[in-house]
Amino acid sequence: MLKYIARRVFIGLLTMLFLITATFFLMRIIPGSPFINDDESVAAQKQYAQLEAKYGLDKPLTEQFGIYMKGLAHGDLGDSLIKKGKSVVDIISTTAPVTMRLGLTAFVFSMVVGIGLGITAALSKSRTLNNFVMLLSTIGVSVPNFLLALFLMLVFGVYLEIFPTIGLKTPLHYVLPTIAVSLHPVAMISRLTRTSMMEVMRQDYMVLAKSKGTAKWVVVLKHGLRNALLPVVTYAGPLIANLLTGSFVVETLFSIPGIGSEFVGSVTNRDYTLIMGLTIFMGFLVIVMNLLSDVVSAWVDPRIKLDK
Amino acid sequence: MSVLSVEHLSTQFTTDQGIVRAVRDVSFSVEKGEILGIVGESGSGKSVTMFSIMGLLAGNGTVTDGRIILDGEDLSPSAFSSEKEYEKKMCAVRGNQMAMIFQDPMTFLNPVLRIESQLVEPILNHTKLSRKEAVDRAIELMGKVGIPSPEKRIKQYPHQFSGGMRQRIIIAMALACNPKLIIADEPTTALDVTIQAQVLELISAIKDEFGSSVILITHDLGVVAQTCDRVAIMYGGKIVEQGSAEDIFYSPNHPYTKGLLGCVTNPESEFSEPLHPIPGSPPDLLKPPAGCPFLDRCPNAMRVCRDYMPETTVFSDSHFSRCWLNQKGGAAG
Amino acid sequence: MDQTVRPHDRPLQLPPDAFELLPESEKNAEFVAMESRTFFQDAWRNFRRNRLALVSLCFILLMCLLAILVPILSPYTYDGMDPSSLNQLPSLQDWFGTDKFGRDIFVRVMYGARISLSVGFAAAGINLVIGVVYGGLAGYLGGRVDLIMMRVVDMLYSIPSLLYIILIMLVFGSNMFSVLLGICISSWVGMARLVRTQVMSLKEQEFSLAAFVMGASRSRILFKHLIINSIGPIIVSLTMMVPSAIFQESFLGFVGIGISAPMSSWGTLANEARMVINSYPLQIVWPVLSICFTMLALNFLGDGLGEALDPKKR
Repeated sequence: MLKYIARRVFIGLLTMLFLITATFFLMRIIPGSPFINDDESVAAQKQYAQLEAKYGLDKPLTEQFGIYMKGLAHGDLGDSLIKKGKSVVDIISTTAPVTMRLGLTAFVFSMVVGIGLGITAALSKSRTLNNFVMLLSTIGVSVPNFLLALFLMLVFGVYLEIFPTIGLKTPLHYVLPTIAVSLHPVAMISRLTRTSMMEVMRQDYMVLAKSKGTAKWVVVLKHGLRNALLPVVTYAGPLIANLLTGSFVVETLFSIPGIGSEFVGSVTNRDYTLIMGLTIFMGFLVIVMNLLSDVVSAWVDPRIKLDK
Repeated sequence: MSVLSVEHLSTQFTTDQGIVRAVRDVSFSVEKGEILGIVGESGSGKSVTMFSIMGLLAGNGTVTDGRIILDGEDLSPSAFSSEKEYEKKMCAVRGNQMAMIFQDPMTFLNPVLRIESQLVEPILNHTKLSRKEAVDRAIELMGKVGIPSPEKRIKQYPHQFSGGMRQRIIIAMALACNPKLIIADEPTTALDVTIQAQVLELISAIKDEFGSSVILITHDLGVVAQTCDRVAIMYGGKIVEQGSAEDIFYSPNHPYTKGLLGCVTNPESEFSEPLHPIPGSPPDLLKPPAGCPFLDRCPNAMRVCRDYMPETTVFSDSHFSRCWLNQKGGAAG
Repeated sequence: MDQTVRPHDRPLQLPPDAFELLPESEKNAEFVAMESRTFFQDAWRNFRRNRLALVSLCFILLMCLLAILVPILSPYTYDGMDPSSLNQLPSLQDWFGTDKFGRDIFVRVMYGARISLSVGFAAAGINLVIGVVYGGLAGYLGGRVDLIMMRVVDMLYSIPSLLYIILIMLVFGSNMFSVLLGICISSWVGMARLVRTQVMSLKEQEFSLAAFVMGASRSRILFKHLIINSIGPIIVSLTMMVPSAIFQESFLGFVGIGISAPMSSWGTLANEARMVINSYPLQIVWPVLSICFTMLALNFLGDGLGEALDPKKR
């Protein structure tokens, strides 16, 4: 187990290195500069050159990369090129918690509702209920979340004025963004759970459990659920990484000062250091969550041998 | 009094293609301390009969007729006011008064639970033992069925056991509450030949030690000869012949029984005798025939066999057969 | 034990020839001759029974047809402005109304379909080719090669894809090529993993050994036997890739970095209409409905195919 985790951490570091290098050079191919200035005057040009020199952007790319990596080794992500006087670490530590609160809320919401719907559909004999859940999940995967966010905002925020639509101040503020972010995962999870639960209900070990005189609902919960949730666990890793890195559209539409909106802003502004910092942060989250989901799968299903 | 008596049991399944009448008017009984063998090929209704008795039929299966009496208690679904009542009663009976051993040890154990939690389940369900006492009992049972160092192995998962060992664990589960009746549904089919003999011996030994009765379902007549006191032969959802092991092996009456015996090789004969396979395949129980189900494959089929189900002919206290050949020559008609 | 004669088994009146031997010809020996059908005939029969999937297929075909034929069918062009009729409601001339430049929205939505559908199908096609070849090779060769190939996949899987799509869009400009490159750079990984798992399990089965014994070459075994046998899951996953590519493309359009004016995808159209949503709310409905219905139809189609191609569900 420890050997496995050590190997995964090594691969993770390799991936990070690849990610950092690729992003660094790709980012610099993009035409434009953080200090773009239409002013052709000599003074402006001089100021531009000064800025470039100040941040070391006038040095050869490989040398800049070396300097950046040296800083990174000391945990220094540099200062933002656009937001004067703010370090990248500062920006991440103020925006990430906002996104994470929304992300975790959405994650818990999706898991609870998705698994609940899936199991209800799988166990119910009612065709109508089954078809309803399937229809709901198909609609859920078919409506892009930016359209859903827009729709929710207009209907419940602007016309009906039931829920607030700006920021994340009170629990009520969470309602619309959470739904907007969660619809797709809820649909996916309910579908996964339903299919695997139906498969599990047909398994021989369910009959054996029943033959021991165990009550029906205990059989379902004790013997069925754990087996049925295996595919959900595999899906949950990438999902939580995805939710924690934030949704750009939802954050922008609901004016949430999170990491997702910061990210797109940094790319359009060519804020090189911020782009790098955010990429490292998100890549790290994705790698850690994938590892976590594999470890949890192995814990849920003892047949999975991680060391192999 | 018999431990189990089944009278006129009929079970059917509703499927997309129509109603499958898997068991049609089956009657038999099991006496205390005996092993009853039920023999038939796949699809003859032997497993369905057992699942009907245990109340473990899949959602689309129902017992439509007949009575199931276990130790004087009526356990037929029709004897209960609602499905809920029936389920409640059966939860108290399953694993307690009667228990079942299944065909494939590879798929009948839950892969994600430790042996411990699966083995203490019937004990906790039916006794007042504490969790710790139940674990002790489980370890004792594992020792009884011949699993070495049970204290260690009880903490393991099913995939860490071989097929034979898993079957022993399933047997231990069935024994947990000293059931009056153990139903073994082809317990050796999925096992290696050497392991088969061990498992059969174990079942016989356990029967003697616990004083249980056993129903042994198999399609292997060799297994029957080795272990069973009495035998019922099933075909097309019906019992076609029933008798003591000697009756069946030395004076078989029904053409199907004779055919089955013709399929058994005799390893002791010096020159291999030719095998006599029974041509054809069993009837389609979506449209069960009005007459004898064996008609199409019977070498002696008569006109009467096509339209009328043969009546029971009694040869002795324990030997019956359902074949028109016995009435030929004017007994009925 | 009781004898098992039931009370209603009264003595029968049998015909006189009852005990004559029944001739073979009168036995109703059932002769179950299964009509032999190929895999795809079978799947098509199953598929046809699913009405929702059939309707979806028709919808998608209709959409494709309209997208292809729209320059012939309509008098308007996608960039033809008409200052005399700005922001009109739907009418007989302009079915979906006109936008703030007086352009016909129906025609623009159909041109949007051209972009969105071609992005969807092209992305799925690229993913199919790369994923099948890569995953097939990794699964078939196994061992060290497989290990290295899958580590590369793991690495690509950990990359925040949105970042790469945006960077690529900025480097190569807002055109079809960069959209496809951005979408495909991470999404072929899913297909590769699926094909690898399939090939690995099929490789162990007897038929591939049989093919090997009969002297088939390795590439023939891989592509003729292993890939063909995993065609079911591949097709299903393919139908799911089309909507997800359309989704990503429309997302980019909606954010404002998608394929750029004057020709616009559904996402761009929705974004343009969002600007005037307070005065002309109807304008956003058309691109939004197009996106949703197409995605819905593709998903229903995928479900239908999944059920038709799954041998377990027969």
